[in-house]
Amino acid sequence: MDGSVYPNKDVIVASKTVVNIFCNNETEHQAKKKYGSEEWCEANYGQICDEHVANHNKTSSMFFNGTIPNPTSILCTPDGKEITRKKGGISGKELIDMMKEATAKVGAGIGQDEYLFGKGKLKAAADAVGAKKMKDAIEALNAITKAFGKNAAAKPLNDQAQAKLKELNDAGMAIIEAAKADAAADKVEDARKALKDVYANYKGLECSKVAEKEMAALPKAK
Amino acid sequence: MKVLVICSALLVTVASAFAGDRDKKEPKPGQIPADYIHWAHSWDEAVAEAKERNVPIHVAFHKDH
Repeated sequence: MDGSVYPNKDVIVASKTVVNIFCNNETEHQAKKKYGSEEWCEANYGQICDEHVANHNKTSSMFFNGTIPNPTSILCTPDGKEITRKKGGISGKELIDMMKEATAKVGAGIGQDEYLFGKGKLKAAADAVGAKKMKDAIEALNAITKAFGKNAAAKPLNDQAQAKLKELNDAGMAIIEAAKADAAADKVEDARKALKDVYANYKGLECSKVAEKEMAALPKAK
Repeated sequence: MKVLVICSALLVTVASAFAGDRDKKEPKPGQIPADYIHWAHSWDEAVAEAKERNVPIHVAFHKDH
């Protein structure tokens, strides 16, 4: 395989339309090359040798009976069923054409950059919830629904964001119910404080509007 | 005075030679290119991501030599 294939910018662009996995059970190359503060396998950025050896051990029997002709490039469906393969060296153009053929068969999907954006926002939302920064969590989740709401191929990401927004709304509604109970028990100022918190920190969700109405219905502060 | 200058020059030369050896043993940190092919860390991760994105999996088999 020509060493210029994977670093080729057109191949890199095409690689974002698929998920790539590197399988090599040899480690004669430098196992721990320093890349900035990271230590990765010399052959691949972002990977350690144990990973490409494990990938080889896991997948070789799935795609070969006996000897493995190296290099071999295989394109599969998302669940791992082979679509096409090419034994031996391959040019950048051939690899790009294989990726195009496979993506056409699989149908509309989302690119790697969009996927990483969505995953990054989901993680940011989870971190924000952990830090009790609900406004930030809602903002991150809304960024997903705004970016992918009309993209059918991004439904899994959009569904995850919607589910998290519903969870947050439910949490806000639970706080409102507790506040209403406090108000009924004459703990009006406690109730006001809780409702104000939901109104301010859950903006964009239904519970924020409900909290605003419930605050207006409370007796005025003395 | 001359002896002192010569000794200093020798010290610098020897130190540089050792530094050179150290550089040869410890590879310089590589630079991460602006963009590159992202490889999945495992087959299970590849399948999970491919299903979520609805995209094919590119499986690359290689040997070192």
